[in-house]
Amino acid sequence: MDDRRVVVTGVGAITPLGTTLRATLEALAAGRSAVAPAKLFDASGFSCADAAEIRDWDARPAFNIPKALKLTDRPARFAVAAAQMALADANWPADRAARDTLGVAIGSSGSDLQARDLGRALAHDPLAESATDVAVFADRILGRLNPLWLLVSLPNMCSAHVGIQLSARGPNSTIMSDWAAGLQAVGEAAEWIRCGEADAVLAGGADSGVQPFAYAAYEQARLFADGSSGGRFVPSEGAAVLLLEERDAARRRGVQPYAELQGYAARGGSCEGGDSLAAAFRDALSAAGWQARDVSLCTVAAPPITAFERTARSAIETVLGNVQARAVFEPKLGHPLAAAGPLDVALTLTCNRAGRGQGAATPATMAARVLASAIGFSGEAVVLALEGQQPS
Amino acid sequence: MSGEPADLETRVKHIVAGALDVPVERVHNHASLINDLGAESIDFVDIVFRLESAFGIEISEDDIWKGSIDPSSEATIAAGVERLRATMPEFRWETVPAKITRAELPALITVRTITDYMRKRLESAAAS
Repeated sequence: MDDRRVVVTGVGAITPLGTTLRATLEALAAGRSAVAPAKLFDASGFSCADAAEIRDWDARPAFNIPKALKLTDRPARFAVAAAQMALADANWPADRAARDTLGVAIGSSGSDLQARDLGRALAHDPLAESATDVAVFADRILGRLNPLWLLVSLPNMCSAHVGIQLSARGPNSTIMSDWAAGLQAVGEAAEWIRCGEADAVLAGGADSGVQPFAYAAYEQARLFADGSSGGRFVPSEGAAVLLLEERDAARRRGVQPYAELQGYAARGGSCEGGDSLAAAFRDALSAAGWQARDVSLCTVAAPPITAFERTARSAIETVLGNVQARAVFEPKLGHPLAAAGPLDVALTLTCNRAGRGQGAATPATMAARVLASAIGFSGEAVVLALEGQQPS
Repeated sequence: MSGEPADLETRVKHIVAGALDVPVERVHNHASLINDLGAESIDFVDIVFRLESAFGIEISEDDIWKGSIDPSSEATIAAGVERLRATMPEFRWETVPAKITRAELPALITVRTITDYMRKRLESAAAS
């Protein structure tokens, strides 16, 4: 299996700046911002009342089985839409055989637990007895929630619904390493292909930080109070999905890959001082057989928070030296959590193919060697080594 | 009570249409929830919850499943199916096997099965 290599043949994304990658790129190029006062819920009580939300978008056309919409939360809907676009972008065949082995790996940081419904149910327990008594919780709270509530809130629903809606019946898995989850899903999916467990996998991230529980957690962690040089932390939402294929299989299909995924590394441990990210950079370089000087661009999907920025800068300086880096996620998009890493990759690869090179958001050039990285809230670090492919 | 049956029927149809994500025009009285409207087992759980919430009653899990058929033996199932054949001529009987087993009973649940069940429940609630 040593000669099995992995290429990216399709990209799809939905973001607060556009319901396609192209629309998102155009909005970025035009300098538009998606950051505005949150509308999905009343955020006025938080230090950050803003959000980058996907608005005026109907998930229905992306769903081959519309009845399943009631079983999905926003991230799952975004995941299905982005995966549909990735398949279309790669001209992936619709026949049954092609779908039978198609894998799915989506990373997400978690569900919003349908806070509105849950809050309504919790209102029937004013003394909060359900907090310490499971029987009371089952009776008063769960009994007032639609039995489908649990199904919608399960962490694996993004991957599950992509599999169901696209008839992708290959391996199906979910990565939950927080904000690094999306990029890690891409890395793990590449391993499936390298090991021969799959020839093609839809892999990426889908998430939404625009929900009350997340805002409460960010407030508690004082993330909203932290303004780094890259701006302030504004939660966002969306999905970005890549179609990964075994290189020879892609050649036989006659598709032109965007890039080859030559290395992947994931590390846990402390984020302090950039330890986990620096280690992941070294591992990814080693896996790809690259030297630090080979790297023409390093993207770091991390929110504009001082600790993350320091981590990224330290890891880049230590391992990569003077590489061109985009160390803070695009402030006009907000931070789409686990979707940030794959979105960074999708935007970079799309720019690459379009041959565009203008602006800070689009620095990649053809055949560039890119290290795409993401940092999780708890020190998780993931790095992918991608080499852009010249049109043949 | 004169206006209630039509109102009940409309409400049930809207609940079924909402749960199964189909236009309410497709929710005919004789439509099989499974064969005609695409319901899966999980949708029945959803429909029961929606009915409970809308009408303020509790519905035990098996109630609607059983409908008007006693599923305890082959004989009681056969007798129940015969009764249904007589009372539901508009049901698309060609979509179910000639000899119906317990496993196939859910396919016999129509929109009217639910409306009839709800009417009985609401009437007994009003009487008590």
